[in-house]
Amino acid sequence: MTTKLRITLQVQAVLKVLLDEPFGEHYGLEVAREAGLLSGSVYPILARLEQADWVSSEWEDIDPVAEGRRPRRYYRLTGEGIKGARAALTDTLQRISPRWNQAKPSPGGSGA
Amino acid sequence: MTVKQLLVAVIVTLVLPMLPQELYAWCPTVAGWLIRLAARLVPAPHRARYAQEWLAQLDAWEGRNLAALLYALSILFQSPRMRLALRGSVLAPPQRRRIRVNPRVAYRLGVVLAALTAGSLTAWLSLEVGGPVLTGLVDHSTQGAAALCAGVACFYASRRVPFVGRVLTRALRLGWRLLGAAAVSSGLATLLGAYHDRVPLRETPLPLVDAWSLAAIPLLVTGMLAFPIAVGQPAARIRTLLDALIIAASLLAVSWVTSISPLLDPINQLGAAPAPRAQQAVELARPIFDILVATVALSLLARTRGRNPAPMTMLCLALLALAVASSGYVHLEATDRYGTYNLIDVGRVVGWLLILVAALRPIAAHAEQREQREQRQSLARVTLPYALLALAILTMITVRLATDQLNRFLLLDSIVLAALVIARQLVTLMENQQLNRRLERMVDGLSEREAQLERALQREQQAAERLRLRIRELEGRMEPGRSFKGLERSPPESP
Repeated sequence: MTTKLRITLQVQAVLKVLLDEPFGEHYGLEVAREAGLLSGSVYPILARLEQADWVSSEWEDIDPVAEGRRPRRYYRLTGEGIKGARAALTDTLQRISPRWNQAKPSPGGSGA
Repeated sequence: MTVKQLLVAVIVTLVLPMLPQELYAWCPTVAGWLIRLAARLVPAPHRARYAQEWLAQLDAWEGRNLAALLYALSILFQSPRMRLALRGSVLAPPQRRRIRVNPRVAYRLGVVLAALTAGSLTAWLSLEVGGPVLTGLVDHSTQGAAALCAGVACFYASRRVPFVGRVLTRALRLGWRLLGAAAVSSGLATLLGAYHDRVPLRETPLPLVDAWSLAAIPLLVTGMLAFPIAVGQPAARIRTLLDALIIAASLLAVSWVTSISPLLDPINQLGAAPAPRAQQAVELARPIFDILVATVALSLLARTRGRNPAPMTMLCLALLALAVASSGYVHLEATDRYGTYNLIDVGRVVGWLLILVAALRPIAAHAEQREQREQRQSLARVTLPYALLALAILTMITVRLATDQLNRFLLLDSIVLAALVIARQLVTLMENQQLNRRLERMVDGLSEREAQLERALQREQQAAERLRLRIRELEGRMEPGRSFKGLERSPPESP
């Protein structure tokens, strides 16, 4: 079951991080660092993405005594998530690009 | 100077300078509290998962206490958003209608009931309320019921083990299940024994009931060993093994004098019909198994430190109580001082009740490995094998003084103990030598690095000196009105 996902700027930042390595596994703090978000704000986003079946998560399989740390929860994009994230980011870029094009001075413009 | 002024002076000079450091040191603990609080704010089915996930991230901030606190605050501030995101979540497991027991309440209730039960039984046995027959029945029934309750609690504990990695979780579950099986087996055997005392059954001879009761011991020992404990270096493992052997040999000496020897003494069996071999074997197995249980308990007690996913200290104390009570029973039985009940039986009830309380103890949703690493082994635990060695020596001296001779077995045991202590010292010596060599290598490396830096510094100083001389020389040559070009044309001085 999927739920409708609202693609905010923060969600886009998280999706961008996940999409940079679509088959890689990321833990919450890592995603927050790479997305430039506060560590706390990334978890509600990941929870919403997980609810929407864009992201799946599983516990890291380590021996905590040997590793000297507790097992992390790793997140990765699902197939649907990869498609959805690409579509969402492309859509955002397409919406932004015309404005950028307008803002760019044309080569033969009056300002030259 | 008034008391108030003195107090202010103490606060200003002693407390205030320490305050920032103290606050800084408390940051990770407070961060842990905040994260647990944040986890309590998300919907109930997700609490355990997010508590574990967020606490696991705290390890990334090790040594950066303030950053850990900020991280926890950030998590706490975002918990309302988290709650909204997870409300009506499809990830929530289907809610089953079941009675929910608050673990803290269950634990407190368990502690109070256990204390009441042990106290009441002690009072009953001391006062012999209702006569010896009823007191004996109450004694055995309480032992059986305590063991059965402990068994149920252990199986319950195995179900609520939090996920702390696949290997660790499996080990914890196995440990609790084996302890549960041991407790249920012992409880049923005790109740059957009590019933057998009232209504003699031909189909279930007493040695069989005793043997069943003894079958609980291997389960108990395996259960304790199944719990995860820190694995050290090979030398440390050998040291642990030697410590366990010292404990076992010491206990054997004490048990030989108090339990095994009276069992084998023909004077005690004089006038009585010779017991069947099976019964003799069961009677002899009991003190030997007690030594095994006590050795495992004491060895684990000496190794356990810091917070553990399983309450090892409580479990070790429970095993000790069971072993002491069982050996006491054997001693009293062998010297014909055990009637239908004895105050020593309270030890067994206390042992099972301690296991029950340990199983009910609320489990932290994480294994505190960091705390475990940081906490050092206490001196009392390190010297535990030597304390038992001292007890064994004291027992041997007492026997020697009382009988004017030392039994051949005790002599052999003392030789084995001496050999084990020597081996233990050799291992420690080797470990120290290894450590010294490692330290020497480190010191050599540092000295070499220091010499290199000193040489580099000298070279730099010489170069700076040469440069300073050159500048002075150039300044001397520079006459008023003369251009710098003339200087450039002058032949360069050798450095």
